[in-house]
Amino acid sequence: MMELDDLKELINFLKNTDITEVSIETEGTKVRLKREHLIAKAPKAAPAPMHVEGKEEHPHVPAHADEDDSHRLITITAPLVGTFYRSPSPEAAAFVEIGDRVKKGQVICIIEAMKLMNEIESEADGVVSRVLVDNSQPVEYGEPLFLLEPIQ
Amino acid sequence: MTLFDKVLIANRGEIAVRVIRACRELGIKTVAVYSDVEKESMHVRLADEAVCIGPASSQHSYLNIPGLLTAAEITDASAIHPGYGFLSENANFAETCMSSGIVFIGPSPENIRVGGDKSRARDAMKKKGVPVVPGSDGVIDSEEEAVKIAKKLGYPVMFKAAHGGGGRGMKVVESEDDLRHAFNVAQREALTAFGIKDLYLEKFITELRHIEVQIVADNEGNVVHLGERDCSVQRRHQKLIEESPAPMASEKFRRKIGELAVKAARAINYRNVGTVEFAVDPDWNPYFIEINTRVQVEHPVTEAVTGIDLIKEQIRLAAGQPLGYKQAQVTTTGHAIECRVNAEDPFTFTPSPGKIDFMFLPGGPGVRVDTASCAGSIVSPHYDSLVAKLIVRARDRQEAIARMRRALDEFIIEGIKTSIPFHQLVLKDPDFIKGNFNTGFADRLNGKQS
Repeated sequence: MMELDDLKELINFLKNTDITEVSIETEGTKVRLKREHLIAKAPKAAPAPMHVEGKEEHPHVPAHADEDDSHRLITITAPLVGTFYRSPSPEAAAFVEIGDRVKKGQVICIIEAMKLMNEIESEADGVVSRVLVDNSQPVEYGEPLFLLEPIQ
Repeated sequence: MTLFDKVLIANRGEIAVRVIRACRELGIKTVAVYSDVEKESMHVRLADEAVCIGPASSQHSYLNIPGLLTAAEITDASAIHPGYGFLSENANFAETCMSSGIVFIGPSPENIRVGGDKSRARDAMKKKGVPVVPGSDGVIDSEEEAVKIAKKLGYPVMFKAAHGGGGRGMKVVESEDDLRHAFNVAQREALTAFGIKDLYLEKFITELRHIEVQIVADNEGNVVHLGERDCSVQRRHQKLIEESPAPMASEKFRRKIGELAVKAARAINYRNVGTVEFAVDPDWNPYFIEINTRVQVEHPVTEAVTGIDLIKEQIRLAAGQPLGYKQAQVTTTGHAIECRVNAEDPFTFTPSPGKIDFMFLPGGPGVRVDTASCAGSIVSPHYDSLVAKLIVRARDRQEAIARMRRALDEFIIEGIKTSIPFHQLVLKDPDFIKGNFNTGFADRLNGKQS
């Protein structure tokens, strides 16, 4: 008898091949798998690599990533829940703008939690490619804040 | 007086779902919080809003006080319900909520503090004439003092961590030699587990029933009890089955233990919903053990026989509403039993986390299931192993047992091991059926098995 796990394994195996149809018959079980031929195997938008130090990987895919982002961008995520600020005070200039080069450890925004202003540092070197959250918006733990283009 | 517009639930699993249900019925909006491995969980799906507050480890998510308060702030929640476990009995959290202008749905920080300090609670009870298990007056400072007190009490005796709980920090001692050795060990254990080494000593009652009384109290000092629950089916001091009324208890005993619980609540000026736990000896003498300053896992048993929604009571009372009923107006009808279905091996009790492949919940007359799981859910090793609470209500105990057996037989959970087979065994046991059991019952039953 074919077990569910065997079937799952078979499907996974087929995914990496060009086979579109297969029939298998063993004692008591008959299985036929058929699928559309896939022209492009590459996914539309590749998930951005995560560079969160000392943390588990977060399965976040940046919400705004479209096809032209498919090269490897670095996502900076919120390390705590709070309110996101792009500048040290309402009058001051933003810590970083799109196109700015940032260094690992450089302060790139503030997250306010319990009336405390927590300076958030970049976890990598890179060029700011996108700011994903508007100023003074609430953010959750793990929410993507910035996309950085790695420096070659 | 109006209730809250929006309540944040600082918990997860079935109790978060339970609180959301009460809020919904009261027309209150809800905010769920979750760790980043629980985005797909039921409490997140059922709440009006959800905020991720941290990574999987409870320390950085469900116990993260700044994160929880910030989540309340950014969602405009005016009150926080702590559920049970996690921060529910953390006086500092209750206080921080208050100073941030957020209502903590529970008792006062001072109530929590006294409840959490068992030797202080004991002293308060003794002063007001609530019997306590014979033992030391307050904390024991030296081995010599322990030896002296133990001689007076008679062996066996039990060391208890003054700041312990959940069955941890207890050590039974049979003789003076044992005691000398155990004193330092127990102190060290208390220090590691609870951060404070204080111990007190109690006479160890071997054949005891664990019977607790549900109490409700408003801010004007009105206190009413909602009857008792027998929680004697335990292993390693963890409750497995609870029922109300207590089997074999006389009406006289039930009245007496209820009155003692009200007295205990008054002794510490208790507010909101709570539980007074008693050890009951074979002659039906109740002794105060502790007061639990939160809603308990087994609260549905009381809801089933009284018809009172305890979560709604917590919310209402926290909003400052008066109790609105007197002791004489509280009536209990029928009999209710709860079985805790845990993700664990039913006989060795080792945890069995994993994915639930298939799940079918029992139903039909008199059956209630509180769970946050469904087919496809993951029982995470990060959190406790409670998968579901199965509660039945019937006209009498005999019918409740038959109904529970029927419901357990219907209950299907595939993919993980659960305690259902253990419960099936208990519900067939002649001593359980007679109501002839105490806290040693579950271990004896396991002994019969092996």
